[in-house]
Amino acid sequence: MTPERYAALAALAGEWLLEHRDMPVPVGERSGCEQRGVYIAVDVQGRACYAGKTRPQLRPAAALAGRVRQHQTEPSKRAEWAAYWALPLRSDTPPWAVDRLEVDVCARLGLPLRNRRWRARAARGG
Amino acid sequence: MPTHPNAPASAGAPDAIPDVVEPTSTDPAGRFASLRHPHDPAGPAPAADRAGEDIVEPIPVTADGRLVVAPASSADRAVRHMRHLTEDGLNLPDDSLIRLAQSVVEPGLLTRAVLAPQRTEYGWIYQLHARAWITMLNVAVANDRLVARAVYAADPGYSAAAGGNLAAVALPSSDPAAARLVFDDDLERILDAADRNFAGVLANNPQQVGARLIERPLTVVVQVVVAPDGTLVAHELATVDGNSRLSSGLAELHLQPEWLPARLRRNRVTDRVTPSLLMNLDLAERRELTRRMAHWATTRLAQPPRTGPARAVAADHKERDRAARTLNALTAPVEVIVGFRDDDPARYGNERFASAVRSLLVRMNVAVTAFDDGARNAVQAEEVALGLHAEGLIDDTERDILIGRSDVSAAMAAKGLDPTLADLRFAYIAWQLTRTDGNRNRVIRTKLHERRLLLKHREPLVVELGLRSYSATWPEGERGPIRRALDSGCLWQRLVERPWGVESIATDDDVDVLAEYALEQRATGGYAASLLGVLGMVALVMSGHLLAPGAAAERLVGGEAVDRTDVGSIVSKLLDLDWGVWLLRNAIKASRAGAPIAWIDDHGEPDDRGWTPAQFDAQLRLAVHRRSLRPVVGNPADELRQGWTEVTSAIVRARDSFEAYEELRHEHAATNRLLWVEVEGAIANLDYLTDSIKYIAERPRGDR
Repeated sequence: MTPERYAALAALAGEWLLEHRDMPVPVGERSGCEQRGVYIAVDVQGRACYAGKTRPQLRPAAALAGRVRQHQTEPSKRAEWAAYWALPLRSDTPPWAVDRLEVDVCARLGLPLRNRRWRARAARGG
Repeated sequence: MPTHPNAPASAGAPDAIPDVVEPTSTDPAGRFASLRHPHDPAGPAPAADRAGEDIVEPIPVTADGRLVVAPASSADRAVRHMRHLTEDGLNLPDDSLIRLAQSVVEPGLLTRAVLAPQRTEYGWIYQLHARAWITMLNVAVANDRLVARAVYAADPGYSAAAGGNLAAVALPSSDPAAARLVFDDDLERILDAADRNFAGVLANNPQQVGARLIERPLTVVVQVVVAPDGTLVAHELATVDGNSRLSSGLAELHLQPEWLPARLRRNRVTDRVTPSLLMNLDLAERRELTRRMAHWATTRLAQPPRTGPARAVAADHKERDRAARTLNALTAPVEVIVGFRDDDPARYGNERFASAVRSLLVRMNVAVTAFDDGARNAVQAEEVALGLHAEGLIDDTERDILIGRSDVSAAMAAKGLDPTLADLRFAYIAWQLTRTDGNRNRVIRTKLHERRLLLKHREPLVVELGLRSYSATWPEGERGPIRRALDSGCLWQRLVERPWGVESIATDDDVDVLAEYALEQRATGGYAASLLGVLGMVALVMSGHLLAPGAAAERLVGGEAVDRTDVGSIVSKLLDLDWGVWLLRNAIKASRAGAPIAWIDDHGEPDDRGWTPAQFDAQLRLAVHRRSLRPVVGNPADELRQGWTEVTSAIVRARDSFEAYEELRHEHAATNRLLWVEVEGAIANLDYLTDSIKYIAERPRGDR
């Protein structure tokens, strides 16, 4: 991930983007006060290895940081993820727009949307 | 089912009798044993004489095997006997009894006739069993099988002069004093309806009559047509059930034009028997025609077969075949409805006779294919309307609006509704059939034979009766998409949960006010929202702007997910949204003005984007799914973005599949290499993709 790539992805969010945050945020740290958004997890070399979304019903502040933290229960992710890039979205972003941004980001970065097979193999050292 | 004290064991309800001739040659219930002659082995020449040829043989139906029209005087004793059956339930005036007695093959047998009671939901119907000349019968005028396809006077655009389409005749009423059905429609229209009914069943449901007899009894009722001044202009024994068999029989008869009275030979095709031809003959003329037919066929068959040149033999066979077919088709067992006893005669008198006869038909045809869903729903819908009326839940005017066979202008005006607005009648029907006060639910449930009443049970009734307001504007052949859209489900739960009603919403201002109220009452789902919803639904569906849910809609919006629920559910969701209410409001106004229905902008103003109705439907379903007005198609940036996401996702999926394949090889310890011919196609595609994508992409400087 680079700031240029981030800018291209942020453009996909269009009117729904809450704030431009073109920097990696270490796992475990908050990136701001958003209620929904899309995040891109990167490894220590800065390579994107996962993208996901969050749009929780309860709408906590810093939803992205919370979602990334949830992933840390999985050993493979804990070992691999070093930081994440945040695409925070406005709180009134409709669910379909959040879903679509996630699909767009995954497709553009060449990441599988749900399938974890690649990463699992990477973790095995294959 | 209650049992009549006098019911003979064999006179059970003919439930679900299929309208086809069974391959048995005897009556299954054995009710006509006395009228039938067992097949006489010494009778006609055995078919083996003409081995290899498909020759029809006449099947004897009388005790002596002869088929002649009895003199009119021999019917007198039968009439005298039948007069004595009045106490048992027979209720027909003398003119009908004389017609009946002169229509049967062996009037002598009628002197021993007894009545067979048959249970209906309104009371007991009494029938006489006999064998009749089919030329003395006629097909039903009220074309119940075609009832969903007819054109109705309830359409404000209906004109009696417009030919070409099947006009629905008014429903028959009950004769106040006798077991007869009374039509007070125009005789020409009735003749036309009977002929079309005849042609329709011949085309859709032909029966094997001619080579065989009509084996199952036809159910017949006396039917009269009365002119506006009260004079009786036609008197018929018409089938309630068995139109297909009777029509197939009539079509088999051999007719020579010189057998007809001279007045009928002018200006019309007279080489085949049609219902209108028969109705144009009086009783004596019809008997004479029958006599000539029977005489010709019998005489022709009595001649020895020809020998000689092959062509002459073939022609002879053909004519003998024709004669035998005529004889076989000429008579049919009938169950004539001759009386009716209502369960509550003090209250209803003879009023429910017509409904009782009809209920017999609906029950008989439970399993018949040609009685299609539309027709059955239509008959049931009319029965529901008549049932509600019989229970006093709706008055005469309301019943007329619902049924819509006659001009409803006066009835609509009496309810304060503008009769030129077809959508108001549709809404009125939807309202009447979604009301739950009084005993309505019980009446509808009973009529439909359902234990529970769900929206899906009410919907077909509303569709069938409602579409009658559009039957001339949209003939059946052209309203397929409309019907499919409505059939997908055109009501929503709130219509039955909250009371609502129909007001005179006649002008654009009225529509605006209605929409304002609908917005105000949105939280409570009040009166106005329901009426606006039904009117808006009608406007959108009738103009093709709201279609049945299907996959096509998603294709029209670039593969985005859309709301694929039925039209009723789409409308109920629109009612929850500000812009949805505005869109319905605009649709009602545009549709009434005959203008194209436009999309709306964020302020609720019409915003015509030049979409086809199908595109409108797709955008509407997309907007309902997203609860947002932002369109997708027509926004090039959005479409391009969507397209590229599809390409890149497909590449990700391709890689994913390859990884899965590699794992599979690993699991099966496959170490052999693939043949180049197996992989070169994939490699060519990948090379093409790599080159093409690089070509359309701009690489950052220094990254080459």
